[in-house]
Amino acid sequence: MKKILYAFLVSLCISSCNLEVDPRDQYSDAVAWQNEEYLDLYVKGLYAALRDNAEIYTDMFSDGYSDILKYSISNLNSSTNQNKILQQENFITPSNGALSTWGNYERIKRLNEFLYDVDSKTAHLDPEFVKVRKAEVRFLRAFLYYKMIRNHGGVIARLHNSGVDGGLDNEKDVSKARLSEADSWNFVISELDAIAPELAAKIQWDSKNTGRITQGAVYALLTRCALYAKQYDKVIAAGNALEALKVYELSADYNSVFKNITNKELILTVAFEAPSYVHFHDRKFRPTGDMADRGGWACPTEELVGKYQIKEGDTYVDFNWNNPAHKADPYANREPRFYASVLYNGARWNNRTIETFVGGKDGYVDFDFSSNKPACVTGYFMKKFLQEGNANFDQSGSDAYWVELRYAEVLLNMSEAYAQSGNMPKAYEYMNKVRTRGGALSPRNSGTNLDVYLTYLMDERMLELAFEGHRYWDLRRWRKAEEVIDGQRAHGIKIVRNGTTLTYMKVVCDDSNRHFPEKYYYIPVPSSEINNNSACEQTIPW
Amino acid sequence: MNVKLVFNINMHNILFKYLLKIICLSQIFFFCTEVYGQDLSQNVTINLKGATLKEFFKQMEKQSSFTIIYRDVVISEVKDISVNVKNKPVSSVLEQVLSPRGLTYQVTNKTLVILKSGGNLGPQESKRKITGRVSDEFGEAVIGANVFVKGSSTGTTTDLDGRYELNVGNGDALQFTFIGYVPQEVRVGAAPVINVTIKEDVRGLDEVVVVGYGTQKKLNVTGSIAQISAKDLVKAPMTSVTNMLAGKLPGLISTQNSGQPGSDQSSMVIRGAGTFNDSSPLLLVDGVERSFNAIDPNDVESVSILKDAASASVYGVRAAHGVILVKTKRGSTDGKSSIKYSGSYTFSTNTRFPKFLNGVDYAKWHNKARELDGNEGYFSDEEIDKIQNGDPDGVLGNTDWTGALFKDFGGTQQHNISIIGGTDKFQYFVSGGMMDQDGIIPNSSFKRYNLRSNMDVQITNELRFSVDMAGRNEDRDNPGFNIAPNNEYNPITQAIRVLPIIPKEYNGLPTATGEGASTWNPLAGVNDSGFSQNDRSVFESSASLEYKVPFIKGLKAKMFFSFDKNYTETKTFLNKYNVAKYDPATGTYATTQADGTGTSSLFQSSSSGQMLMSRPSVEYVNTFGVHDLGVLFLYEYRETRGRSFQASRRNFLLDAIPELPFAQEDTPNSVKGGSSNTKTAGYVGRLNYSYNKRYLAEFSFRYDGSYKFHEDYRWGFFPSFSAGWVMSEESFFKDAFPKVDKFKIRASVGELGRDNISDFLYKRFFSLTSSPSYAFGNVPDATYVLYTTNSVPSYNLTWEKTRTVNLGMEFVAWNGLLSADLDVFYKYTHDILEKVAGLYPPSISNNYPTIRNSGVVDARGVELVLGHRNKVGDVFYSVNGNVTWARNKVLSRTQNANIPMWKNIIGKPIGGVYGFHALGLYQTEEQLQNRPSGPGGVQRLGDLMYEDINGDGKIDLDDQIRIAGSHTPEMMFSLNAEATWKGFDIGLQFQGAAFCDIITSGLYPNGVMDQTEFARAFYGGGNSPYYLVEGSWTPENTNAKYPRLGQAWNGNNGWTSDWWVVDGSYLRLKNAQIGYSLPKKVINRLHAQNMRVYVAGTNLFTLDGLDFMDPEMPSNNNGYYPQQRTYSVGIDLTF
Repeated sequence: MKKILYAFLVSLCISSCNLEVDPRDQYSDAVAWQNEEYLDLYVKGLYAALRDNAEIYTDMFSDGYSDILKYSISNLNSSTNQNKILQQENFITPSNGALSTWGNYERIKRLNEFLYDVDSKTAHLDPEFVKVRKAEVRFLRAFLYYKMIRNHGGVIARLHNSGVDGGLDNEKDVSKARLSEADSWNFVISELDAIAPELAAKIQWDSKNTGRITQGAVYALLTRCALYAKQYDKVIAAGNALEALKVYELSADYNSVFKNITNKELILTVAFEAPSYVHFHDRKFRPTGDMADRGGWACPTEELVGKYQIKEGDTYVDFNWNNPAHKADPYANREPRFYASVLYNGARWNNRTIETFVGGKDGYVDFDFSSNKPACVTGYFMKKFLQEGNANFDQSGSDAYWVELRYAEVLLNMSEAYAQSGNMPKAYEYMNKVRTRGGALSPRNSGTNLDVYLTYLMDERMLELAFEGHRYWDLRRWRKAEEVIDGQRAHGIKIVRNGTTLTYMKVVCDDSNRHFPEKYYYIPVPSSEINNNSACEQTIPW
Repeated sequence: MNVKLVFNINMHNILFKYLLKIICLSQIFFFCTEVYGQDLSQNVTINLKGATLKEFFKQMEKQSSFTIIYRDVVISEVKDISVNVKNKPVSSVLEQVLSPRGLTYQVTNKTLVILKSGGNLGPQESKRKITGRVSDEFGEAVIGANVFVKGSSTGTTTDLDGRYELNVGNGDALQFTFIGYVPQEVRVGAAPVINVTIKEDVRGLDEVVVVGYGTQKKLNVTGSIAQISAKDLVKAPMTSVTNMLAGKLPGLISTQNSGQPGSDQSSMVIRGAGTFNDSSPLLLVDGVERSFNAIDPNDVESVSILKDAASASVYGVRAAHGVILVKTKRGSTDGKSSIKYSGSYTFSTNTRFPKFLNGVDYAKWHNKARELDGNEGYFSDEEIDKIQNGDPDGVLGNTDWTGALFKDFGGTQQHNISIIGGTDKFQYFVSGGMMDQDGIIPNSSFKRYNLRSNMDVQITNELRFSVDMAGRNEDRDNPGFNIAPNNEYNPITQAIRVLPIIPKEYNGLPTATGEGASTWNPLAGVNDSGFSQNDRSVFESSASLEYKVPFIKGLKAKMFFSFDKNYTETKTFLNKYNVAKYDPATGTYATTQADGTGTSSLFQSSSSGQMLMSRPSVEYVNTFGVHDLGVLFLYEYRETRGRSFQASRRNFLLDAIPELPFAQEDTPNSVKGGSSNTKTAGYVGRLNYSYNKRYLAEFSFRYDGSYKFHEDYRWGFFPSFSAGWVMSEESFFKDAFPKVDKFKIRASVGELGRDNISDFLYKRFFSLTSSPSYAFGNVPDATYVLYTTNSVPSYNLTWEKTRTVNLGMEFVAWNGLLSADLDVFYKYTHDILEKVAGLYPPSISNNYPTIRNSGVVDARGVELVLGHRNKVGDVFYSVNGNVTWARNKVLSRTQNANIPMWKNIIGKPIGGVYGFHALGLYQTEEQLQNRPSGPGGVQRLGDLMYEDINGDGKIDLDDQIRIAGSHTPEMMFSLNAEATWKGFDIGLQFQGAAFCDIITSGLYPNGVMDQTEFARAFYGGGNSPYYLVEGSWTPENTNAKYPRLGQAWNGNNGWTSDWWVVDGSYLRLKNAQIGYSLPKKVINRLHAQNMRVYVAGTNLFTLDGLDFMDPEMPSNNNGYYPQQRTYSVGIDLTF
C-alpha cells in the first residue's frame, strides 16, 4: 500500500512538472510559412500599407492643403487638419505630427519582418512563388519610403538586415543618422530597379488578384519617384519599359477610369467591397443635400473649376467669368473631365438636381473656421470617387476604389522628364496624349520655351489628376507652393437665386490668409525621433 | 412540534419542500432518542469480536444515552470481549460483559460509573452527592464541560442545562474544564450544590487560526493573520460573504460599488494597492483557489486573511497582494448531531437617491435655464398649468419617473438548513440553502440554490478519508437594457433623463422623451426591453486521504485532489418596442421605435471552466520536551481548462419565441468561440519551531512555476522568515506585569510574487483578421488576412515581487478588559510589469521588448485592533474597534522624460486623477476678459474658471495636475459593540473609510470628459435633481456650488477638474441587530437546543460629504445601481 502511494506521488510530480502550454486561440509564428496559401494571406495582410495611404480611405485628401480643394470643417479630427495647416501659422511643429509620414516605420517594420524571415522559412515552397511575394513586399516598403522622402527629405534606412544583429534594427540600433535626400531617393529607385525583373512573370495577375503589384506598377512608381528625384533619364527609361509591356492604354472616357476597375488605364488600385470591407467617402463627401448632417467635408475651389475649358463652337477655350456668354451659363459645355470630377449647381445627380445656390438643398454657406458643420463652402462638390447609386451609403459605406497609379500620370511624368531633358517635341507629344484623349480638347502647341510648357503642364496635371493626391506635392516639387498658397485665399462661387434668375458671385471662401512658409518644403522629423536618436539631425530650419 | 414559517415562501419550490421534509424527519429522530434515552431498559445491538473493554464501552455510549466513566478501575487492554446481542436492554448487556471481569456499574443521572464488584458507591459513607450547574460569563449553560474529582478518574460531563451530579468524598476538590475556558478548581465543602462560572480563556491558548495549508494555534503564529469566525461574520443576513467582511478584518479594504442583485459584491484589496496592475488578493476556499463571492454565508466556518510575506509565502507567485482563506464547516466528533435552520427576510431600499424635479418645477427651471442661455422658454403658463392641474388632452402630465421605477422595497429571502454531527469515526456537515433576492427595480433579481456536504471518515487508526462536495446554481435576471453605469439605456439612466412633464402613456403607448434619436422611458425600458439572463452552475469537489505513518509519531502523509467545474449560460434578448415620443420644443407626440433596440436581437453564450488540482503532502509535528517542531512539505499542481461559445441573431418578426432559430438573420461576425488552458505548479516547505512555548520561529518557502513565463524564467523561489516571543510566559514578565494575560511580539520578512500578466508574452503570434481587410480582383473580393499580433516577444519577463517586513504585537490584560493587536508593515513591490513607451525613436517602431519588469511601488501601513469586554451585572458587553491605514507610493514608472513637474507621478500614490484646477466661477466681466484661452467650450459668467498652471496663456492638457487621489480608501475603520442581557443580544457595527476621493463628473470610460446628470442641470437633455438646479449659478445665486444654469451644452464645465472632487470619507452604521434567544425551558419543550429571533439592518445611516448619493458609488456614475439599506427579520433554530 505504502509503495503504491509513493509510486503514485512520484509519478504525479514527474508527469505534471512540464508547464508548457500552447495557446488555443492564436496561430503560432509557423503558420504563415506553412504553405503557399497561408503565405499569400500573410502577404495580402501587408497590403494594408497601400490601403492606409489611400486618401479615399483616410478621408485626408492632400489636395485640401492646396489651392484646388477646400475643407469646410476644421476640428473634427486629424483627418480634417487641412484648414489648421493652411490658416494657423505654427500648426506644424516637430511635436505635432500633421503631414508627418514618420509613422510609416511601423508598417516598414512589419514588412522588414517578412523580408528577414522569408529566405530562411520558405525552403519548402516554390521559389518562383516566393520570389514574387518578396518583390511585392519590397515594393510596398519602397512605396512607404517614397512617401516619407517626399514629405521629410532624407530618411533613416531601417531595413530587414540593417541591425547590428544582422536583422531588423532593434534597441541596439537606436542611434542612426538620416541618409541625404538624394541617397534616400537613390535607395528607393534602386530597390524598384531591382524589383522590376523579379516581377517579369507578373505583368498581369489573374482576375482574382487584380490590385496586386505588377511589373507595370513598379515602372510607374519609378517614373514618379525619379521625377521627384529629378532623375529624368530614369523617368523616361521606366516609362518606356512600361509602354513596352503593351498592357496599358488611355481610356477614351475619362469618367470610366474611376468607375471600372478593369479599365486598361489603371496600373495600381486599392479596392474595397461592400458590405464587409468599406470606407465612408460617400457619407463624408457627398453633396450635403443627399442626407441631413452628411457630406460636404470638402469642396473643390473656383481655382480648379475655372481652369476647365469651355466650348465655343467646336473648340474649347479658357473659361472667363468676365465673358458674359460664359457667365450666363457657366457650367454648360465644359471639357469632359469637369463633369467627371465636380458637382455644380444644376448638375444632375442621383435623380435630382444639385442646388448650391444660397438656400438650396445643397446650399452655399460662408466658411467659418470656428464652425464645425460640414457645408458647401465653394459652390461645388467632389464627384470623382462618389458612388451615385449608393443608396445606403450612410449605413453600409462605400466601395469605390482608389487610384494609386495610372497610365495618364506616367505619360505626364514622362512628358515632364522629356521637357526637363530638353526634348520638347516628345514633352508635348506625351502631354497631348493625355490632353486629347477622347478627342475633345485640342492639343497644346509645341514650342521650345520650358516655362510656357510648364504652365501648361501644371494645369494639365491639376485637372487630369484632381483629387488623386498630387497637387500639393507637385506644388512643393516645383517649389511653387509659396507662390500659389502663401498669403492667398481660395475662391468659390456664391449663387443667389431670385425667382429663376441665378446671380453668380466669385467670393473669397477663406476667412484668413493661407500660410506656406518656406520651411514647409520639408516636414520636420518628429521630436520623439530627435530626442531618442542622437544621430538623427533635424531638418534645417526646424 | 411545528416549525411555523412566518415568511411568504413559494411553496412550489421543490428544493424548499425538500428541506422542510428534512426538518420533519429529523424531529421524529429526535423524539426517538429522547423517549428511550432515560433508563437501562433501552435496547442496544452490539456485535463485537476480540474487542477491548474500551471499544465495548464506546459502542454502548453510541447506542445509548449514557456516558460511561470508570473510577478506580484499571481497564484491561486485552482484546478478549466478544458480544453478539440484538435489541437487548442495556442492563443485561452490561451484566453479561462486566460480571465475568469482576466489575459492576452504577447509574448516576445519565452517567454509568464502572466499579469493581462490591465497590458500590452508594453505601460508602465518605461519599455524598454533589449537584451543580456550570455556566459561562453570560450565565449560559456550558454543555459538555468535564467535571472531575481531582487526582482520580471519577468524573462526569454536564448535560444540556449545564448540570452535573457527582459523588465525592469530603476534602475532594472538583476540577471543571472546558476547551477554550480557564480550568477551575473548587474544594468540596459542606454545601450540596456547587455552581461554578467558568471564564473564557482570554489568552486564546486553544484558539486555532487557519493558515496556509493547515491550522495553527494562534499563540504560535508569527505572521500577520486576521481571522473572523462564523459567529462574528453572519450578523445580519447578506447575500455575499464579501459584503460581510467590511470593517471586520483589519488590513482589508473593501468597497461595495453597486447594489444590483448578484453583482453587489465588494471589491477587496489587502493593505491597499501594491502595484499599478491588478492588486486583488488570492482567494481560496478550503485550500483551493475559488471565488467565495457566491457561496452561502451559512456554510462558512471562518475567514482568514494572510497579510504579510511570512503567512502568505506558501502561496508564492500568486500571493503578493495577500491571501483570503475561507474555510467551510465540518462535522464534529462528540457523537451528537444537530440540525440548524436559519431563515430571514430582508427588505431593501436605496441608501440614497437624489430627488428629481417634478413636472411643474422642471418646466419652470427649464424655462429659467433657457432664459439664461438667451433663448425663449419652452413652456407657457398655460402649459405649466396643464402640467400642474391635468391636461384634458392627455398630452402633458406630471410623472415621478424615479418613483415609478424604484419599487417601495426589494425583498430577499434566505433559508438554510444544515446538519452537523459525527463521531470519532465519521463526521459530517451537510447544508442546503436557497436565496431569492428581488431588486429595487423590477425584473432585476438574483436566485441561488446551494448544497454542500463535507465528510470525514476515519477508516482505520492510520487512514482518514475526507470528501467535500458543493454545488450551487446562480441565476441572475435583468431587463434587456443592462443596468450598468454608463450604459446608455440603463433603465435608471432613463428614469433620470426622461422629462417629468408627460403622462406615463399616450394613446395607449408608453411615452418617452429624448435628445436626438434617444427615447427614454424607464418603465418601458425595464418591462418591454426583453431580458438578460445569466445562469451559472458551479460544482466543487475535493477528496483527501491522510495516512498516519506508524512507528513515527507525528508523521503524516496526505494526498489531496480537487476538481471544480463551472458552467455559465447567458441569454440576452433585446426586444424592440414602440413609444410615443414627446418633443417639448413643438409640444407634439410621434410614434417611434424605442432607440437602442435595433431589430430585436438575441445573444446567447455559454462558457465552461474546469480546474484540477492535486497536492501530495508530508507533515511532521512532534514535541520533544520543551521543543515543538513542525515540518510541512508539499507539491501542488493545478491545471485549468476553459471553453466558450457564443452566437447572436436578430430581426424577429414575432418576438413571442426568443430563440435563435426564430430570428430572420444572423448578426454578422457574432458566432465566436474559444478555449484556454493554464498550468501552474509549486513546491512548498515550512518549518516551525517553538521553545518552551515562548520563542517561536518559522521558515517557509515556495518554489513556484507558472505557464505564463518562458521556460528559462518560469520558476521562482519565495522564502520568508518570522519569529515571535510570547513575553507574557516569561516569569520576569509575569512578576512585573501580573495583570497582563498575554503579550507577544512578532516580526516577519519575506518575498512574494504575483503573476498577473498576460499569457504567452514570450511567444510570437499571427492572427487572422476578424473581418475582411483587403480586397483584390476584377470584381473586388474582400479577403481576410494574416497579421502579426504582437511586438518582439519578451522572453525574460518575470513576475512582480513584493518584499514585506511586518512587526506585530498582541496584548491582553486585565482578564480581557483590554486587548490590542498592532501590526505595522512596509511593502516594496518591484519588477512590476509595465509598458515601455516614449523611450525609443519611432523609426525602430516597436522592435524592442515593449513590456518589461521595471515598475516599483512601495506601501506602508498600520493596523490596530482594540478590544474591551466586560460584564456588569447580567449584562455582558464587548467593544471592538479596528483601524487600517495603508499608503502607497510610486517609486519608478516609465513616463515621458519631458513630463512637467506637476504631472510627474513618481513619489505619488497610485490611482491619482489628473485634471484642471478650478479657481472658481466667473463672477465679473473683468475675469472673463482676462481669461486664458481654452480649454474648449464657452465661458460665461457662472462658468468654471481654470488655472493656467504653466502660465502660457492657454489652458490645455499641459495644465492638468493631480486633483484627486484614488477612489479606493487608504483608511478603513470600524467599531463593533455587542451586549447581551438574559436572552437578548444587541450588536452595532460602525464602519467607515477615509482618504479617498470621488469625482462626480469627469472622464468616461470611452475617454470623453463630461459631466453627469448629477453634476449639470438638464444633462443630455434630461431631468435634474433639485439640489442641482437650486445650487446652480444664476444671477440671483452667484455664490453657487454648481456652475451656471443652462440648457445648452457647454463643454467648458465638463472638463475633469477639482471642482467636482468630493472627499469620499464616510462613517456609516453598517450593521445593527437585536436578537432574542428563547429561554432554555421553552426551548426544551420544543425539543430544540436553541432558538433565536432577530431583526437586523445594514447601511442604516451614513455621515459623509456627498449628500445626495452613496459614498461607495463609482465615480462617473450615470445611472449606477444604488447601494441598498436593508432591514431584516430572521430566525435561527437549532435542534
